[in-house]
Amino acid sequence: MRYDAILLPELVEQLDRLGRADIVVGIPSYNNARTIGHVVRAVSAGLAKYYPDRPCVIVNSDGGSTDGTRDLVLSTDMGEHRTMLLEQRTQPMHRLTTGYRGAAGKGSALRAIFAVAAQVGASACAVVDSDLRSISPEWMELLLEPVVRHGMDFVAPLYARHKYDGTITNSIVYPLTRALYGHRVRQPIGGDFGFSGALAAVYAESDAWETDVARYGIDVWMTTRALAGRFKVAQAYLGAKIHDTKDPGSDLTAMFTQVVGTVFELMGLHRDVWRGVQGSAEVPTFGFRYTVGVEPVNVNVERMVTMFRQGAADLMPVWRQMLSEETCAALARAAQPGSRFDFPAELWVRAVYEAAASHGRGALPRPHLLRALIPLYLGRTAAFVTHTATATAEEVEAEIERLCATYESLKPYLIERWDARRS
Amino acid sequence: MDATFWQTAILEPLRRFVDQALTFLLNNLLAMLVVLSAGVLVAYAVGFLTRLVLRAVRFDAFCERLGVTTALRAAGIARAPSVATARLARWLVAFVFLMFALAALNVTPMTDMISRLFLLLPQVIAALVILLIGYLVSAFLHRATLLAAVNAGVPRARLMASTAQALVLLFSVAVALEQVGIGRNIVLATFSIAFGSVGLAAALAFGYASRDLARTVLERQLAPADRTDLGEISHL
Repeated sequence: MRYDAILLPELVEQLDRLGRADIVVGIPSYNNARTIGHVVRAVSAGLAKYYPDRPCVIVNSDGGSTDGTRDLVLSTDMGEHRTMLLEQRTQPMHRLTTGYRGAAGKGSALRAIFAVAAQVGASACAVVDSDLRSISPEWMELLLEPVVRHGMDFVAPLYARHKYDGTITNSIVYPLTRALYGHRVRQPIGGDFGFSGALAAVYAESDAWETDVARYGIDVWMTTRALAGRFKVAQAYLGAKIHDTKDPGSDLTAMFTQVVGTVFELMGLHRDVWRGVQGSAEVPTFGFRYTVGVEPVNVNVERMVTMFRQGAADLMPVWRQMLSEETCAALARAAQPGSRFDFPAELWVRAVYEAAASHGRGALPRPHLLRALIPLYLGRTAAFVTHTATATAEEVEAEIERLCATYESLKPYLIERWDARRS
Repeated sequence: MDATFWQTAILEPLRRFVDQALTFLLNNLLAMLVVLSAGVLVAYAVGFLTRLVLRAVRFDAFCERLGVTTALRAAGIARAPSVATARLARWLVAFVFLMFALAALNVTPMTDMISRLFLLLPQVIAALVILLIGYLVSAFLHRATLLAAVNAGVPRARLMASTAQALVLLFSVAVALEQVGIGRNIVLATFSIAFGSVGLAAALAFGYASRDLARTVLERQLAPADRTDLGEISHL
């Protein structure tokens, strides 16, 4: 199958000249000149070190950078082979850079990469973020080897992160994905993935590109499609993940609504898959785990509590349209000033499940429903941070494990709410 | 007074009156009753069909999403929107048939009044539709403004949302009144003055009395979103 409708004409011509390739590594970017050179060097060295005998392609899919990102991709020198302990390649390694079609965002950029992988007939692919400072050549082996040698279809990343890093992941996406699909993929929205050529073709041929999948929703969409499609899923330990400074425009509302909206949307799509799943199981984990120092994260708990209380004061009529009376009453009690602030895990899980069911039945316009959840998320995050203020990373992980257990034990409640929406 | 007098002065007019009354009863009143009965039947049929169609297109879920159901409940209407709409359609049809029935009586002043009413009816219906759309848009805008303001941590979010809703409602009422031709110039002038005053007052209050607040708001708007407020937390 050809993907001319997805790819830009000049890229199609380049791919026609290039022919087949065994491994494709994609790097989506937008104004990442500060970091992309390092990422390209690490990827090139990784492919040179681990796959010198396989034809490889590095594809940069760029959203219209104006800071010379694309030039850097093509001009970055890998460095001295000998000092990097590399052998001479027996097969070519190409570098391509291209724009993409569709809505601006990471999802549309990855779509072009999936199409390239499918068009050149790649057997293994990986995508890595372009703002990474901690990527090393070994990431290529960790993301690709489970596909190349162990027959896996999808490799999610596993990072060492600060205990308060990735709060949407820890409070919603990981526990909910795990409870729904029964697989413990710790970083479903990690951003760096390995996958088989067959799965790349499935991704490229999907029709979800007009939704939030085109933006922040892409990572969880990839993971969920792999889990719901019964592909072989694994994870690989990559060490610490250190990014460049965040894009100031990437605000919480957009991140939250696009990611959680995609999770809820996929719940509707795959309801027949998750209904029958009980409990969860570990997935194969590759890589050598070691302790790393992670950057500390400051959290303004007081501000989060204030925003939750304002939500309870102003949004209660909206919450009543999407949550049960009991949950609303419990939220009102939690928002009472004076006492020590708390937002119990069970209340949070019930609220998420009720919101998911309301999202499914269209109780409110979906962007409104997702925005109405943000003060609840901030309240739950504030309570989590308060409870774990003095806890170690392991103790925090144990706390997240307890939250996951709550999600799993309350799954019958989700099904009950989901079915109630039809009556 | 002889018998001829009784015959010509009393009995004959009385007989003519009775004849006319009987003719009226048998013709016009009977026609009115027939039209009225048909109207009742058609009204019930229209109500029933409306309800069926609205249920088939999941009108209640649509109204719930738009917040119409909540607004109806707040206004004391506990019935489902599909039922309420079906009843409205039934009464509208019944009203139209009532007008036809009254016209069937063939009483000149009443016929004139009904004709005028029918001439006005399209404008009235258009005005009602404008009001309904205005209400729906205002309710949507209220919720959107409220959510955006709460998530941005703006104090008095409800006041902001209610103001946005009130302005849209005011606008739709003005357009609806314009449609039925009531106080065209007065409505236009009132609307312009009200809108202009609110804008001017807000500008003056914001510029003079709340300079510090204005600076804070602008700083917040221009500062990187969320990060400064919530700390360095990485959500994803």
